[in-house]
Amino acid sequence: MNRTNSDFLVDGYICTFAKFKPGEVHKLTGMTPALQRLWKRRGQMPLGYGDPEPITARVVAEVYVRHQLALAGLPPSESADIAAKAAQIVLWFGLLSINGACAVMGPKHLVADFIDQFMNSHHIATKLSGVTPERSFRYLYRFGGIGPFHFALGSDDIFNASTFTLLTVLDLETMGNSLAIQAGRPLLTVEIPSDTVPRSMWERRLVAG
Amino acid sequence: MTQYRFFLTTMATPIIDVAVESLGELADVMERRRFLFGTAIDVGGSGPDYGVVISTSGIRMVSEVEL
Repeated sequence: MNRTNSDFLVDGYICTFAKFKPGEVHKLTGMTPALQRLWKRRGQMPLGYGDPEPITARVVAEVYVRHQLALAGLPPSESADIAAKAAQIVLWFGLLSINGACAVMGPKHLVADFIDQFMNSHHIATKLSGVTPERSFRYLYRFGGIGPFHFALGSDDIFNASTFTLLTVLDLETMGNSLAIQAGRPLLTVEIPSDTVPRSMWERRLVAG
Repeated sequence: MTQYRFFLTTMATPIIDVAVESLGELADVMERRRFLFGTAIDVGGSGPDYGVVISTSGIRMVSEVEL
């Protein structure tokens, strides 16, 4: 696998997010290529790499959230911080819930161990997505159509917060599932490095959600 | 009696309008329906009146004044 500037290390694993071209980003997020170009010109979306400028799954998740927030009335100029946090959660749900959203490659026994750990705890998906367990919120919401959005673990958290006339809410779990399903290929590939087992003896497997 | 209307978009459908009678029922719909984006309005309360503008780009709430 060729190293790129979008690779990152987690617990010794070399992780690479899938990259998506503008047409694919449209399919995944609903943002037309023209709107993507506008956001890029305004500096509200990274330019990506190469031509036609693919962007990573992490950025796609961020843009997905920001686009939905924009539809809810929060301009992209005000959504960067909260979307960065929400994007981690969207990816977390996608990795955990959808078969094949994560691929792993390496020596057979290490791949088997990785899949076993992935299936039996949230720990690996939590590490890979960058989310912290106490921030695995499902909803992003606000009341009244104005002001900041807030995270909530469940609907009880929302309804206990206040009475309301108008509630706007994003379901981050469904967004993660949608992203992973629509992508049609792994959002993230994890490589388990090994100095002792030659690459010719490695295997690549999809992780079941 | 309908207390809330919940407009939601899912992966498969652009907009669904669900009428519910209580917050408990609304919570149940939210947990079950797997929506991407939702807007709930208290239509039985005494707060400001809102209208719903539905377009290809989504659902937008507008106040009575804007309408």
